[in-house]
Amino acid sequence: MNRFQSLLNLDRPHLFEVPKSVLGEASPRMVFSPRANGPLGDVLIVIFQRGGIDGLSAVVPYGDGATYYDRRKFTHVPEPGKPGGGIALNAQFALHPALQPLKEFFDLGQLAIVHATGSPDPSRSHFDAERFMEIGAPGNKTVNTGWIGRHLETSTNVNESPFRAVGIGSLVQSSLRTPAVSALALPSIKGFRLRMRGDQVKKIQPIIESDYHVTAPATLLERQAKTTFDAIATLKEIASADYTPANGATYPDNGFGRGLRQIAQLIKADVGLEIACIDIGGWDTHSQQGTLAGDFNNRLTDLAQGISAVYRDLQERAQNLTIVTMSEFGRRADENGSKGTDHGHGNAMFVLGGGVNGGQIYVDWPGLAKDQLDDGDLAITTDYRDVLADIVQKRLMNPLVDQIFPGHTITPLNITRPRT
Amino acid sequence: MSLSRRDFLHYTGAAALLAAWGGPLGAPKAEAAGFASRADALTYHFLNRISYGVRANDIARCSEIGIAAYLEEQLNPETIKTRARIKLSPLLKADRLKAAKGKDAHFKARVALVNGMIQRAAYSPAQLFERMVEFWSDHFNITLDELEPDLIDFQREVIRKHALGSFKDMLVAVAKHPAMLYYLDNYLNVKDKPQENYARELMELHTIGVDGGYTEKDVKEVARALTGWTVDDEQPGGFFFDAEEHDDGPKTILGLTTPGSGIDDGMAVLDYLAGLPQTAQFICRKLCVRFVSDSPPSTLVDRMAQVWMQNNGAIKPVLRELFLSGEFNASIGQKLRRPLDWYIGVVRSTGVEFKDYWYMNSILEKLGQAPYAWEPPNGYPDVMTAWANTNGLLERWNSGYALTEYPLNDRKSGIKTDLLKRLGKIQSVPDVVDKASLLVFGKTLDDEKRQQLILFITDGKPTAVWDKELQAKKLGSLMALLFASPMFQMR
Repeated sequence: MNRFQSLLNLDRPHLFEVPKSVLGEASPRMVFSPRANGPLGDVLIVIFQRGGIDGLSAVVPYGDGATYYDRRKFTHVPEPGKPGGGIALNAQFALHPALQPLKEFFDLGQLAIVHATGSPDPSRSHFDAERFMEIGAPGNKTVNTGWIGRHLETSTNVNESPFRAVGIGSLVQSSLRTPAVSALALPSIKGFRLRMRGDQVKKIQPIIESDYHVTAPATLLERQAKTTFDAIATLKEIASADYTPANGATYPDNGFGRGLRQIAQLIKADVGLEIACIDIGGWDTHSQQGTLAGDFNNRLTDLAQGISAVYRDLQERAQNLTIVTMSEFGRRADENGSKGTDHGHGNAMFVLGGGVNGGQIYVDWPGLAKDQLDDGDLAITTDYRDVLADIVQKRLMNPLVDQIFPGHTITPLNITRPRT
Repeated sequence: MSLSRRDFLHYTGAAALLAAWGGPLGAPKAEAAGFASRADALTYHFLNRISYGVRANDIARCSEIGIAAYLEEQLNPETIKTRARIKLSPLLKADRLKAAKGKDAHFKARVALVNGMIQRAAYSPAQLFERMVEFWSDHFNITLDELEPDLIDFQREVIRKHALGSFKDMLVAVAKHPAMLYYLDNYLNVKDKPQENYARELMELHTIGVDGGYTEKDVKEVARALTGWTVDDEQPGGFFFDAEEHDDGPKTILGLTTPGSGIDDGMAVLDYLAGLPQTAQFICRKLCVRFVSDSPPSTLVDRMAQVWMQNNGAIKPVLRELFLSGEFNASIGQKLRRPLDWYIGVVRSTGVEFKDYWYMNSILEKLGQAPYAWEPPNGYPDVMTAWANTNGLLERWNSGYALTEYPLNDRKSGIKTDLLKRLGKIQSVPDVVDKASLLVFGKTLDDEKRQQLILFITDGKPTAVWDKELQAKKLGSLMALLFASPMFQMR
């Protein structure tokens, strides 16, 4: 019996009471096309927190005492037990109270937290840091493909589904970039269609189809056109089916929540999705951070509710699902003069899934004393690429991490278990 | 050894291209694609490649004087009479410091720059010149963010000034321009802490190419030679050579040993790299990928590189070799329009204008190619495999509709065109199909396609009359279909 199965015996009925209506035939399972294959390993959802999340307020080093609290007069989370205090994970770290919905998964051993992690490049520019993180080659401006793109390119999996790699949004995330696999930028399931007057679509579509010979496509362009119409048809079916999230999952009613909901819809429809990328912004909290009440707290609430909802919704597939969060950098150890925090360095990442060695914090804590900081910021003791490489190797079944993270010598971690 | 997956994809991609476009639109079948003769087909092909959209009067003129003479006109844009009214912001004449002054200066500079680029590409009669400006803007890619005023200056004083001139002059101008000094960080390159970013790209992307035979040591040596090349706003143009920060002492780069001290050190490196045969090969190949095909014949690249070397990197003779070659003539229909190229083609045929810059920008972003927005220094990709994807096609189909239907039937859309004016008086349904095709392709369609569109407009009723009602109902869709057609995706 593996760890996930053993969880079924735990007394947590609300997680596993599955309404009949969302199982089996009731979930819209598409017969997409014989070419559409599933992933070789887990489905991966990558959540990018744009703007640089204050990891010190998300996973709080309350055990550092004054070295933490003295630096953060207006932007700290109080010790567990105090009003507004964090949720203790151990004697050293506590979760921000807004992350309460994720505590359950931590306790279940499915959520792992990595701290003092990030990209070693010293850049504190959003632009450079995000790009370096997404290409998976910090400091190297000549790498033009993304780390996920290279994973898809080097994976032995054959999957020609147009939904193989999906970026929620109108632009595909840089991490998905590769000439070998065209990721689908999907702002919304409903929007992926011919956006024309209703009476015209019926007449325009057959002409475009005949122009591109979609019944017998012979060229690259014609094949792409066929795939496009296939995707339109599939998404139309998905969009028209009533979607009720499973297990009482409630997605936050905002772009992030709707995006995650769509990812869940696609995963359940078995249209060949392997990797989905989604962004959540609003972390660039230079002033009036609102750690406990305000912007930061609200965003963190959205984040936790969104992750909790999608994981709950996909509970029956948790065995084949990994979710990972990342952000371009953390914030400075010291807050600034406007009750906010400036661009920093080390940060926290979350890894969630049925194959995760969770319930633990993976950290070699560098400390927050003056001489322990890196240029005034939390130092990085775990390269974020090692975290991703662990997932890619064990959960996505791709051993070629040296090509996915060029120029980086991987330090093996044990955050996830090999698939069985 | 088996083929790697990457090689395999590359191979099938190339094969698909040949299968795709050698056939239906390829040379042997040129007559079938609606041309009376092979000469007509070649004229169309030539105009299609050097311009942002073929116009009927261009075909007439080129047929009259011949491709070689037409090319000479295009290579000497100062001789072409500008009849077109191109709306340009006066900001485009401002130097970098002036362009950076005032409220919302960066936004205003961005709007001026992007709109100016689109207007010129769409309407300038010096079409090949604008195509070369696009080529060099990709080659010496600089991202707009935070550098808008510098980029105005860079475009005017570097790219447009040298687009058809000497590569060596352009390379030196690039190296000394604050936009590039900032973009690739050479302004931070000092003797105690050399910054290699620009040095590396100078070889890898700007001159000899990644296979040009340099080592990591060469990168370090080039960086050392360029220490002290920085920005000082007090200096005219903004370039400043800071002798204090220059690493004196000789450097060895490939086969060159530099003088060691002073600005001559970096100048010697630029001069040397610009003159290498690897540079000729690298850039001539890129020119072929832009203007001939995604996998250009090496025979043509080699001849162009030879011409390059004989003429010391002068660009015009190289372009002559390219456009008057047999390889070029054999490449009909092999290039995919990139998204921006596609958009400019729509503007060129219908006169699209946006009230709101960000609305236009959002459409270009969805299409996948917002101007000056490619982050990495290698410029937007140029090959079909990079662009032909599902979302990209769908966005073209939808944007073609939005760009013509909205302005026709929704006054509040914030988009306008002068489509109706350009079409002129319409006599009948076949007439509107012909006139619209002329606007978009510079020629009418073959009979089968033409009949299909007539049927689409009339809904199969032969008695249908072109009137206001039919216009409101069908004109936007007709244009959308032309812009969605495979023929409009290729050039």
